[in-house]
Amino acid sequence: MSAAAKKSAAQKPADEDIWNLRLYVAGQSAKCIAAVRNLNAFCEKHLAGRYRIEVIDLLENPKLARDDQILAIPTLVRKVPEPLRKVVGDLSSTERMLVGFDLRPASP
Amino acid sequence: MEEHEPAEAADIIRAIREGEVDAFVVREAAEEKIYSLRSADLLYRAMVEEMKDGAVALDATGLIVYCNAYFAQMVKAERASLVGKRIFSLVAEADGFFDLAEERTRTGTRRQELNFKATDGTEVPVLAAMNRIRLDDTEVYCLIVTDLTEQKHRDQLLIEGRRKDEFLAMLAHELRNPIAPIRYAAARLLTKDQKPERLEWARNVIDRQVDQLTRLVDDLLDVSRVTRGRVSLSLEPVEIEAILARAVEAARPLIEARHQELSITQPGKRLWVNGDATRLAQAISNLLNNAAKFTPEGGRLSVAVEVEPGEPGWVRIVVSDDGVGIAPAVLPEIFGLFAQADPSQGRAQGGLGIGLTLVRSFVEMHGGTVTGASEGLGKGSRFTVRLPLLPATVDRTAAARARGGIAAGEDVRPRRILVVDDNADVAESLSEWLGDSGHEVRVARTGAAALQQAEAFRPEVMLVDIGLPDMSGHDIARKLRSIPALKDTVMVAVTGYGQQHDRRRSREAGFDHHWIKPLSAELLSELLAALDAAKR
Repeated sequence: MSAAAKKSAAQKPADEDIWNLRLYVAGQSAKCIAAVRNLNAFCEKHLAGRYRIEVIDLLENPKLARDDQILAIPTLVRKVPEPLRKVVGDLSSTERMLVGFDLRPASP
Repeated sequence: MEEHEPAEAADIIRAIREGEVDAFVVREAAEEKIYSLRSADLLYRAMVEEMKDGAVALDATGLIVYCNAYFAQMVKAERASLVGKRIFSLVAEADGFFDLAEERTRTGTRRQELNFKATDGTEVPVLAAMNRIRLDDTEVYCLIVTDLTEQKHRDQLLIEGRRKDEFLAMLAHELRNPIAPIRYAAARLLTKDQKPERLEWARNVIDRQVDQLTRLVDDLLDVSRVTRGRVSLSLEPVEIEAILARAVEAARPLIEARHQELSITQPGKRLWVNGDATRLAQAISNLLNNAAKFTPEGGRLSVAVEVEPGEPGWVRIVVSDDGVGIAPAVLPEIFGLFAQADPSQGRAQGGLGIGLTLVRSFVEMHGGTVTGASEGLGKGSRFTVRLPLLPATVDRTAAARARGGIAAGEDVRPRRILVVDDNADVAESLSEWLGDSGHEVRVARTGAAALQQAEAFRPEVMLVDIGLPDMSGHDIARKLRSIPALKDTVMVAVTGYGQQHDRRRSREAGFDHHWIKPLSAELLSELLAALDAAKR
């Protein structure tokens, strides 16, 4: 059994281990709904138990787009762990997310 | 524009190319705005369009600027025809609900039950909720309308179910009431104390209570037949006066027991309807019984017959009293099954609350109407029965009068007629009447006399009262039918009982006709005329 698994079984993961993800959406548009669904599936598979998702609806508060300089919607931003990373689109490609988050090296 | 990583820019362009984004952030005058591509609000749109509640957007003047498919379906209109219409035109009674300028409409949420008016004129009960929403620089009123038709229907069923329960409880009570006295009387009959007056008393108690039970059961059977549409009428020309006489006779015991005064007003002329005398008399006696029941002892009742003013084809029978009256709130429901305005009022006098239901059913089966009116509690009640008169009424009575009585003269042959009735007044007046018309008439006052007379006199027509002191009319008919010389005699049973089984018994005993008292001169003259036509 791996050390990480032992640790998570024994105690809660430390704050820096928890991924903090922010998904920018515009209401319930088709792509935004797809992005929410894809993100949840991705996290359950690759980050089980150590992620936190914040969905920000820019229709409700457009100013929040400024924080992360969002241009296109939906866009996913990884706040923690650093460095900050963005993935634009409906997150339909697991491959691209793994690469974008440095979870797997880009294929040649 | 802010600096962006070249990689992010590339990713954005890729995402756009691949159709993974459907909204953009654009900064306008230092303020971010979100621009959605067409599909961005698809969910909301689909929800509002497809939801099974009516959704309407109104402008500040009550103009419909949008409505969904369900709303159009609710008011049975084409959606396109609704946009641009004023909401007020679709509401039966808005009660200020759509007073859009009013403060509470502008600030809060209004929620109220209303009746919408569909384009085909039907009313749709709804729950309406409305609130104001700001849209850019304008304001619209968002109206959500829930159709309550089914819910109201369910509520109605619940109420009817509850009424039925109450009715059953009342019925059990009513059926029980006569049991105790009967049991007590039966116990008295079994004791050694057999004094004649005790026996007489016990017999009377049982007789009265069984009568009461029979009435209840008859009413129940009637109401079950009526509600299942199984009542058939035996229609024949009947005089209103005769109906009234029977009705009063039936109601008189209760009226007298309550020391009430009944006044009867009748028009000078004879009025005929095509009807079932038994059912019509039952309807009127129900009204009279109700009047007696719901009027204190010593009160005044009245029944008035008149030709409907302005409508010569209709007769109006008005039964009124100065009793407890009817509260306006329950007035519309009094004809409903199991409705009894205030159980505590009726209970004192018994009753099942089905009398008025029967009245309405019987009257409507005759093409008539019945309405109830009251100025309020304590102000008495007034019930009005309207019935269509026989079109030939005027002609028939006039013709009969012109002929100077019953079927006499050149077109009717004189007949030998035997009148059998124990009531001297009835027998004599009838024989006088027939005699004046040229017929040969004999009278028998008992069954034995009737048998004797019949053999000797060989009547062509016999009018036989069923209830004689020494034997029943049925027995007379059976005996006489076995005599060959009398096999062609037309025998008419004259009786106060007009039920199907009464008619059947008369037929089985050998009677050709079964007539309801009092005897109708019209029927008699028709019978004699028919006799001529058959034998001439």
